[in-house]
Amino acid sequence: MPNADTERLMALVEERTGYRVAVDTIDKCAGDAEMISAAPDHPFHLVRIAQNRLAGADYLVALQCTMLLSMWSHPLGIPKFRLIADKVAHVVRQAADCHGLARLSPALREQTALQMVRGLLHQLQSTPAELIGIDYCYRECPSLRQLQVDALTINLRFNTQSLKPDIKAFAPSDVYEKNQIMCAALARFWCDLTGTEAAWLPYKSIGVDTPAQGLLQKFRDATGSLGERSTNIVDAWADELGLRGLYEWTYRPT
Amino acid sequence: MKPESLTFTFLLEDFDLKKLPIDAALLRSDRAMLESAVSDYYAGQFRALGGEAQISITQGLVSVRWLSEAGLPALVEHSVALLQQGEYGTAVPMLRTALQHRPDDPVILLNLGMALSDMKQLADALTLLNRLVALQPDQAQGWNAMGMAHVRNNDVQAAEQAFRRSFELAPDDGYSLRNLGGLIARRSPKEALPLIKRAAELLPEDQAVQHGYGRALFETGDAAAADLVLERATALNPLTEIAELARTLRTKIAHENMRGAFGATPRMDVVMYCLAALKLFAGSPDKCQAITFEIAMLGRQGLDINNPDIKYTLKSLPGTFSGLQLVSYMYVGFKRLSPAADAGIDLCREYQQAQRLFEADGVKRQR
Repeated sequence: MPNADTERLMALVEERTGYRVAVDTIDKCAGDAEMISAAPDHPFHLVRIAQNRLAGADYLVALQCTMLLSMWSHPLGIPKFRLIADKVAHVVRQAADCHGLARLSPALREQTALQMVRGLLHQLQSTPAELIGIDYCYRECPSLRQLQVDALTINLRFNTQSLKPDIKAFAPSDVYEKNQIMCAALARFWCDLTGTEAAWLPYKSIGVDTPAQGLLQKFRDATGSLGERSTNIVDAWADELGLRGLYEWTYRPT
Repeated sequence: MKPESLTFTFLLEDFDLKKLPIDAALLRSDRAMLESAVSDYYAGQFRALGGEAQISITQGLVSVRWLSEAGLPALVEHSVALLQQGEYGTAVPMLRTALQHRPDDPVILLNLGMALSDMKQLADALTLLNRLVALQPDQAQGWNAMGMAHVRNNDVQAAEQAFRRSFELAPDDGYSLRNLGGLIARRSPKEALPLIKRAAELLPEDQAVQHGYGRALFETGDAAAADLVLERATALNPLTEIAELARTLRTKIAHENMRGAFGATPRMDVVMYCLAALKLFAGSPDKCQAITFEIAMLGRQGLDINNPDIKYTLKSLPGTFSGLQLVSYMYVGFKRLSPAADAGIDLCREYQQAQRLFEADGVKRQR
């Protein structure tokens, strides 16, 4: 049978937003799932699960549902994280000048730096909402626990791939460090939730433990509706990481 | 009750690194981190069981000493639960230790035998399962597990013998029926069908069995019954690989039924639906994406295209529609939005004819 917790969350999304959640699969996906929130020209929420992650689909759908609930609970409307092009371009240029990218052609250097900066900003936007969802599912969806453990194990392991020396040497140091701080915050959060330590081990020795703990404190201090918490945490993290001027929030009416 | 001490050991290099939230290459480059992570993993495993676990790693050998009043039965129970979650790398060393303490325990022999069979360690699996059926020749589960190990070992004859023995002992065991039926279906789907049907009756919640039954019905020529069974199989859990297989087969059945008597000739009802969609999307191009995607999503649960009943509604388009009408609209929508995309059904003949009518109609209006 479909997982009862997942079904409950899908029903809750429909009740709160007026749109049902449609689930589909996708061959290629940057992460384990993609989500498109409903809009008038798209009258349903779409959650697409990567084909290679179907075994954990129930949890991944539930997690995306928590993100939808979060987005749709913001009093100002559905938040949209909009990058400010000229400010991002400035950071990209700085990143492109780093030593690690010097061996690339100028065009490829710029393109790589752009991808890295955009990736960092996507991580900034998505991690707080993900933490809210992880926390909710862990506490409220016991039937999804094993699938959640499996999914987090895969995601955390994927994050640690970037700790390899060659990647560190290649990436712009500023972007790299901020990325690692947020990865470490996710790892510490999961360790605290589950009473384990393994996910934290790789980050203990690379000097990001204090700033990562600082981000988690900001996460715990946030108040308001799920949606407000999510955007407030992003802003608080951006302040800590020096990324505040690179984006702005716009809100679409529900 | 006096606490019982159990110790099991295994090579660190045999530990499945995928159980850890750290990249394998990183772990291999940092021995201390690897040892800490493995220790943490086992500490977590035994925390739920209670008692006291001491984990040590020396010279590549992991040693877990567990002191608990719950003792061996709790360890076996925990190991079986781990196997059910697919945690073979963790459960198998525990079961091997348990077997050393109780070499003739049927629960340990069966579960360790099945686990090793799943892990393709077939010689070891067959040794344990042979011992089990020697000790308990009337235990159907043992014969069934042995049959599966023989299948994996490509010994079809021995597999069939074992499955038949299991079936004799437990004629109403769904798994015996499923496995025997599945094996016979390789040479004769017709002969296997009654067995698979009975298995499906006994295991109505088992998606794999239901899918197997649907496939068997399809292969023996009863597409209509196959479609119903596959629909039920999909509904059991729409988010699995088996559900994807069932959906694919249902699409194939629906397509074959729809073409049915028409063969290569275009169906005029579909032509008219396509024409209506072309007109709708030409008049309101902004609606095309919403309507198309909404139908596509509705179609994930299966649109009944061979039933003329007008029973579907959309948020993006007022009215009620038949399944075939919606599929035709979706096909036209995909052709406009992404001509190379696979709409899941081939309506190209009808679409081409509708396009000709649409263009002719446009020319007429211009005059």
